[in-house]
This record gives sequence, C-alpha cells and structure tokens, in this order.
Amino acid sequence: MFFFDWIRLSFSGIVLIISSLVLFYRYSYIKGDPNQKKFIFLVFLFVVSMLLIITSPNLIRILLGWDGLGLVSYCLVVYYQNNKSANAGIITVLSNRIGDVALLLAISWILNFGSCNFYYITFIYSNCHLLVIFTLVIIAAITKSAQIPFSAWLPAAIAAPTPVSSLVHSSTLVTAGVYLLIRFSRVININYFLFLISVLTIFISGLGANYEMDLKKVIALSTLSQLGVIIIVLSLGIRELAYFHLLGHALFKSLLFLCAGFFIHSITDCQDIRYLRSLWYGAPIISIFFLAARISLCGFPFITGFYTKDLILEFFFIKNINIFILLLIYLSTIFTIIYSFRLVFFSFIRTLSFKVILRKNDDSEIFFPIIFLFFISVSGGRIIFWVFFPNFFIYISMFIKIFIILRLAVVFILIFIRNKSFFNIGYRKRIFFIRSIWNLPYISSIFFTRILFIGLNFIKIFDQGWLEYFGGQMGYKNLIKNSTLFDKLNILDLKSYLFFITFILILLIQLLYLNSLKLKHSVEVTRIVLYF
Amino acid sequence: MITLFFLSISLFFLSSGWWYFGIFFFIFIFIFFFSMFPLNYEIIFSFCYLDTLSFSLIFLSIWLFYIMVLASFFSIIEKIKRRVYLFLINFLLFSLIISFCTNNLFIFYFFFECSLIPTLLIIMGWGFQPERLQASVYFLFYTLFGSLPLLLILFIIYLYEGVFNFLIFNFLIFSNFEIFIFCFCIFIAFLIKIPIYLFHLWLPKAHVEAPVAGSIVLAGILLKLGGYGICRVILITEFILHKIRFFIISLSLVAIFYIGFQCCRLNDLKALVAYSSVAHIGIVLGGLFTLFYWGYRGRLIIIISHGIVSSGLFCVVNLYYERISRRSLFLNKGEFLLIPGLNLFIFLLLVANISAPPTINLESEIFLIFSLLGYRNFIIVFFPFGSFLGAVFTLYIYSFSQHGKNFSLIYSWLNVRSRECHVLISHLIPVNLLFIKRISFLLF
Repeated sequence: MFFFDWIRLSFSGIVLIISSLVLFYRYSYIKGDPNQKKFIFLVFLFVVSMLLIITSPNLIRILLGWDGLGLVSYCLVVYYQNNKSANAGIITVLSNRIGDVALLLAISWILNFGSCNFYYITFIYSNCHLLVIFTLVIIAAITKSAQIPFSAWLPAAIAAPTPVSSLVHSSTLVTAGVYLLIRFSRVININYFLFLISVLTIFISGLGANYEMDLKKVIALSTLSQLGVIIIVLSLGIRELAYFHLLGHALFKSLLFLCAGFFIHSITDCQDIRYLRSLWYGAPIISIFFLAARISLCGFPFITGFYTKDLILEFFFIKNINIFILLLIYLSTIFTIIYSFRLVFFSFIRTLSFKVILRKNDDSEIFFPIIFLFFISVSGGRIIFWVFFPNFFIYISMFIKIFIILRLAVVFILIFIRNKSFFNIGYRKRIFFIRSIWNLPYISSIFFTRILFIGLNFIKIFDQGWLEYFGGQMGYKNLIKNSTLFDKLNILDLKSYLFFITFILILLIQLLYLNSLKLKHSVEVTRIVLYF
Repeated sequence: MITLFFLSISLFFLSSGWWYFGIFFFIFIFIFFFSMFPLNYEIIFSFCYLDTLSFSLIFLSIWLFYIMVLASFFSIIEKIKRRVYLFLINFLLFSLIISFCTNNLFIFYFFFECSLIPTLLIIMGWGFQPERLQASVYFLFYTLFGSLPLLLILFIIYLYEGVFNFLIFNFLIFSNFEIFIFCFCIFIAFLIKIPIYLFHLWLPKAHVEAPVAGSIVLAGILLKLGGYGICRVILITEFILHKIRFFIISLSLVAIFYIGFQCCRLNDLKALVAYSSVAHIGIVLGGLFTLFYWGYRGRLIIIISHGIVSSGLFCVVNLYYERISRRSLFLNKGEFLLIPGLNLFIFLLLVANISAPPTINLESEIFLIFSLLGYRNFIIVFFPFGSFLGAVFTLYIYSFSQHGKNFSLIYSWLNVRSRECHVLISHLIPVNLLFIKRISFLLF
C-alpha cells in the first residue's frame, strides 16, 4: 500500500529531481572509473529506499527503507578504497544501525496497538506505550539526522564521492530522520528534550565550521546546523515550517556540494580551503552559483533560505525561551553567516596559490545540473511560498525584528573591525577541540572500541576457560583418570600390595565381627567369602 | 520454486553420470507439488508426518546438498576419494530426510545419530589442519553425551505407552517429577545439538576444521535438526515448559550479548561465522521458547534464512581460503582489489546475516522480537545490544577483509569462476526472494 499526500508528493519530487541531477553530474565527475555501474546501482538503491520511507504509512516499510539507506550509504561512503573512507563508513553505518535497532523495537512496541501503521497513533493521546514508541522514534530520527550524541558520522561521511555527499546531505539520508519526525510530529508535539539536543547541535556545528579547513567538511557541518534548525522547529510543534525549510535546504545544499565537487575535481582533487584560492578567476560562473547558494543558506532577503529561515527565527523569538537558549540560537545563526563568508574569503578573494583550476568551464555534463539547481534553489523558496505556505501570525516587537536582520550587519562589522586577520587562525589545542565538534568523533569511536575489548575477556573466561574446563577438557581428563584406575591396580608394587593387604584385613575384621554375632546366615556368608 | 524445479531437471540431464542427482530430481518434484499447499498443512501417513516445518527443512537440505557438491570442488577433484565423499554426502542426506519425515521418535533418534557418522568422517577425512581430530571428537561426544539420556527416556516412555509416535504421546500418566526429568533429558539432547550457549564449544571447533561441505551441512541443517526435534516435542511438553522457559530464554539472551562481544575480538574468519551462528541460535531459542505462535513462525523463517546465509558465508570464506590459504582476518585484507568479483557476494551475504531489508532474516527478526517482547517487556533493554553487536562484528568482517592494504606476500590467485558465482547466487536467491511467500504478508 502506497500512500500519498502533499508532503509525500512534494518531497519525493525533490528527491527525484536532485538524484537525477546528481546522476547527470557524475558523468563528468567519475569519468573513467571502472566501477561506474556500481555507483549508479547504489545511487538507484539509495533513492528507492528513500522513496520507500517517504511513501509508506507503515513502520515496517519505513524500516525496509531505513535499513536500506544505512547499508547503501555505507557502500557509497566506502566507494573509494582507502583506510579513511573505511573508518568513516564504519562510523556511518554503526550510528545508523542504532537507529535501525530503535526502529525495530518501535515496530515491536507499536504492535501493542494491533498494527504497524502509525496513522491512527495520532489519535491516541495519552498512553504509556506511546511514550516508549516516540522515545524510540526520536532516537532513530536523531541518529539518522546526526543530532548531538550521534553527530560524528555526518562530517566523517564526506569520504564519499562528492555527488553522493550532495545527495546524502541534501535530500535523502539525513532528511529521512527529519521526515520521520514530521510524520510523528503530532505525537511528539512540543518536546524539550529534542529542543535542547538540536539547539546544542546547531551551536556546536556552527562553531566547528568556523575553524574547519576542509571544504566539504565545512559544508557538512553547515548541513548539521541546518538540520538542527529544522528539528528545533519540529520540537516546537510547527511541522509545516520545518518541512519547508527542509525542502529549501535540500535545494541549496545540493547546489553547494555540486559546486564544491567541481572545485575539488578541477583543483587536482584537493579539498583543503587553504589551497582553494582565486577560484573567482578560474571558474567565475560556478563561483557565482556557489555564492548564491551560500547567501541563500544565510537567509539573504528574497532568496530561498530567507522565506523559511526568517520565519523560523521569528518563531523562536515569540516563544517563551530563556535568554541563554535565545543567545545560543542567535549566535549560531551568526556563525552560519561567518563561516559562509569565511569560505568565500578563503576560496575567492585571496590571491593565487600553488594550485589553480586546471579545467575549462564549459563542461556541459557538469554545468547543466548546476545551472538547473541554481535556478531552482534561488527561486524555490518563492515557489514554495506561493504554492503551499500556510498562514502564520507573528507578533513581535520592532526591536526583535531588527535584531534578526541586524545579524548580517553584526558579521560585517566584525569582519570590518578585525580586517583580514579575522579568518586567519593558527592551530591550537582549544581550536582542535572545537573543530572536531567537541571531540564527538573520538568519543563515538575510540571510547566504544575500548568497550569491545571486554570480548577478549569473555573469550578467555568462558570459551577458552570455564566452558572448556567443565566441558570437553575435564571430560577428557576424567576419562583418562578413570580408565587408568584398574590398570594401576594391576601393577605390582609396594603401594598396591599394601592396599591389597589392608583390603583383606578389613574384610577379615568384618567377618570376625559378623561371626561374633553368631548368626546362621553370617556363617554361610563367611564360608562363601573365604572360599572365594 | 519453478526455477528450482527446472534447475533440478537441467541438473539431472547434465550430470547423467552422477546417479544421486536423479534422486534429487524426484524429491524436487515431490516438494514442488507439496509446497503449493496453503500456509499450514499437515500430512500424516502411517509412518510419516509432514508439515510446513518438515517440508521446508527437507527442501533446505536438498538445496544445500546440491550446493555442497558444487562448492566442494577441490575435495571431489581427487578421484580416489571422490566416491567415498559422495557416498558420505548421500548417506547424510538420506538420514536427514528420513529424520525430518518420520513421526516415530525412535527412528528420528536413530537417524539423528546416524547423521553424526558421515559428518564426522567428512570432518576427519577432508579437513585441513591436524586439529580436526580434536574437533571431530568434540563434535561427536558433545552430541552423544546429550542424546544418550534421550534414548533411555524414549525406552521408558515406550514401556508405558507402547508407541514411539509423537502424535499420540502424552505425559499425563506420569507424575510431575518424572515429567520434569523426562523433559530435561529430551531437551538437553536437542539443546546441545542446536547448540545453546554453554554447550556450544563443539560448534566453532567443528566448523573451523571442517571442509566447506562439512561447514555447510553443519551450519545449514545439522543445527536445525535440534530445532526440529524441539518443535516436535514442544507440543507434548508445553505445560512443563511454561515453568522452565525463563531459564532457556535468559540463557539465549545472555548468549547473544556475550557472543556479540566475543565476535568483535576474533580474527579467524571461519570461527567468526560459526560464532555468529551461535548468536543467531540464541535468538531462535529465545523466540521459540516463548511458546507463542509468532515465535514459532519466526523460528521457522529464521531456520531457513540462517541455514542459507551461514552456509553461504562459509562458502565465501572457503573461497578466500582456497586462494590465500589463510583464515586469519589480518592476512585477508584488501580483498576488494584482489578479488573484486566476490565483493558483492560477501557484502550481500553479510548484510543478510544482520537482517538487511529484502531478506527473510529481517522478517524473522521482526517475528522473534515480537514474541520476545510479548514474553517480557524487560527484554527491550537487552535485545538492542545483541542486534547492534551483530552489526558491529559483521561489518567489521566486511570492512577488514575488503578494505585496507593487501597482505604483500600474496602474489598469485585465481579469479572468480562461474561455478563459484553459481554457488553464491544460489544462496542469495532464496534469501532475498523468499519474502514473496505469503507468510511475510502477515506483517503488512
């Protein structure tokens, strides 16, 4: 059974558009790769499993797509054969596996209501089973959308080829979790746990992106922060707005990744932004597209990001949230602008470096999808605004309204004050801590591999220890011991002689005792024994 | 099913020299007709009792024996040993089919023990390392140790009841204590055979030392023989099992947990696959001893899927072993560059092992987790660990064996042959396509 409503149709449309453009883009990007067919099949499976998630009202079918997304994303992350991508793939797939298990448990718990469909669940308002189900669903969703305890995999997953990252970060893998939350939004309603997690996520990832030197990683961290924004909105209970931000974000994020892929590919496969200089001269048109996507991400007026992001910020400020969280949200939106301009500063404004673009710009296979996505991602927000935006009534004071718009000015002032040295940051320990999103990759990899060392103890204690001792080995020893007992008695030495003598003596004493009782029966016994 | 049918016909004509394929052919037709029956069916002749479980197990065993002959190419290629080898395989198949068909518990017991002998000879005769002697002794004596009390119990029951037929059995004439002893003796035999945790030591040893055919038959069918026995006597002893099932369920859950951790530290490929099958058996037993219908059904599916998947994994591991002559995970690195043809197969089989979407493993896992959570809600705390650790070590096998740098002493290897591809695909097709059966649609 497939089920369609306006969310499903529009979302699957976006997924299909972006995936087709990405498949078009890969003609040029992995030209000459012997595994091209594998790549196409994997992307196809990826899209199919995403569509399974989108179009199903049934948790089991969602699980099919959910598992499929995890495993296929693993295959795509380990597409290049090296250690780094193997490690990234393991982190990715195991983080997703936690979500799979949570969803599996949610399925088995949802059967308490008699079926695996989750549609009617919204009509059960208070039930203890519902609490378990949506806790599990939230765990599943925050693993897929890489919120805070599980956010290590998203920056690591950039080891995949860039078209794949474009697909993963924009509309498929990470948005699956958000999509599940949108489906369960009536159950979750206003959830402060989710709210806190996502606020922390946008803060940490925004801060991390400001110190990151890897082009793709900066974009990945910006994805993380945008996902955080979406989930904040969801946790405040406004699912339409979250969904529209999801769509807009999908459009400009895929554009960003495709442009970044072009840059990386044309500067001899280098993605350190300290090498990416003067792209403005090498690839002017694609630079404009990149800039447009960046500006759209920051919420520049009347480009896609503006329509949703501005509304989202206003929604935060009309809620009753305390000053600390308000400050965190405000700071992280400022961070978004800062890292966007930092990227622009590093890659476009600075003078020539060793590496320059070695590629002509009129490669139509790479050019067409980027142009197409550019037009959609600039005008997409407006189209969404026309077509299906609900009415929102927002009442805020003039001060706060200006406060929101002021954030751009704040950034420009900051840059202007510090001049060029604003973005030049050396290597320091504290910065390493911030850049690695507060050590989350190390916590989620090294910390847990330590725990797996218990396994060796288990092998030593159980399988090679007690089970062997009470099982095969002891049986073997006892068999040897018991079967040699009679052999030992046959050997004539002092010990067995003495043993025999004592045995006979005991017997005689016993007989004497029996005789002393003067029983008729015992005399016969004595006779028989002596005769024997 | 139709493809299998035609496949068997083609096999019959191709290998006219090998007479035993003729038997396969007839049995295929037999099963082909009976598998079109509805979901639950029982056929009772004078001497045999057939239902979905026994049909699917007979079908599985024929399917796997056909794969065994194909997979153990290097064992058959020696002409002197070949006849003995094929005779042993046929004898094993015969005894297995009889023990799956019969309704007589004594005959079941007899052929249950009969199947030990050819397996023992296969492990001893065609194994690779000298440790195979110890392994085969472990294999033999663990099973015998468990199953001798069963024989005594069968005779005692026969003295009182006059039948061996498990359909007519009832324990109501005995006192409670006697029934408890009987149940203990019956189940200890089957639980060692399956094997339950704490009695599983023979399994990794036998698997590691056996040739590929031995591994396939052990993982695929011989383990299921114990499960089959449990299913047959579970209906008689249900009232006593209500009191002792908590013990077996908790033991199996502990097994999933411990063995999941152990597998993360093993570096022997064959031993890893063997231990993973012990963990799976833990889930099977847990689901089965909840005594729910969902658990019973899920156990049937997982028996089939696990039989196929683990035998496929043993095949893949054996293919690596044939090329590189090592089972160690540290020396089997970077296989994706060496043998890219096997990459897809090993990935599909491994993800089927951790219940990836289209496989019937996922379905069975859902069934079993339903029944386990139906038994106690508290299991929701333990089950995720097992499921997650399964994914950890399975993907660890894939990542370690396919990625990274190659072992530099390997300088010549064969590429994948069409025979090997055929073996692996014939594992993958049933696992990935059997969800079309009607059982699956209970869920949707």
